[in-house]
Amino acid sequence: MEITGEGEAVVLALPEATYSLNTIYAASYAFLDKAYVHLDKKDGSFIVTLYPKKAGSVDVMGKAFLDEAINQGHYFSQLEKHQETTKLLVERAFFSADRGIMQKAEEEEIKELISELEKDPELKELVQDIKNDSPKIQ
Amino acid sequence: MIVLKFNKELYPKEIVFVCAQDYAPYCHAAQTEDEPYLLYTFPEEEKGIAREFANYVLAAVRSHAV
Repeated sequence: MEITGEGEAVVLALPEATYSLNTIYAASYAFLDKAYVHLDKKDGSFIVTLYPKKAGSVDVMGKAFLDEAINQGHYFSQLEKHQETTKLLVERAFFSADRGIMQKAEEEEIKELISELEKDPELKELVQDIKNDSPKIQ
Repeated sequence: MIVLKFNKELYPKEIVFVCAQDYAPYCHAAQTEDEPYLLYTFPEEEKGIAREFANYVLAAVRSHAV
């Protein structure tokens, strides 16, 4: 990883192996109000050039960008890690908003279960008895 | 002359084109290609607009990626 100054700009070389493109995009986006940002790619590294909009230390800006890149990288890695849990929570939230959806999903699940049980010849008769006793299940 | 070089791998062509259309009323940019870059050339007096354009494109690319 390299930080070099070019007078009015700071150039950062961030290895692809360490930083994903999404992380670079996200960190760059966070800096759009403070700097003009240019991205490039060379020799397995993302080249980020920051031109500060206001006079100040370009070196400090470069280091702040690195912090932001770590922050965004961490965010994306946590997002990936908890993807399944998040999906489950969102599904639950939608189900709880409309009970009809949950009911329908349960009925579908029961139907699928019964079809599976019917495939077993030993259980077929039992399943038929259940169907006869419960008109809702067909 | 200000030349903006957009690496096609990082800045999808379609998005850059749409952004260039948005900025067309405000500046005079010449578009060329020099693999793997898309080049936009602005006159010297439009340096400020060129830089804003670069940020505009980056914001669009980021939004698209999300």
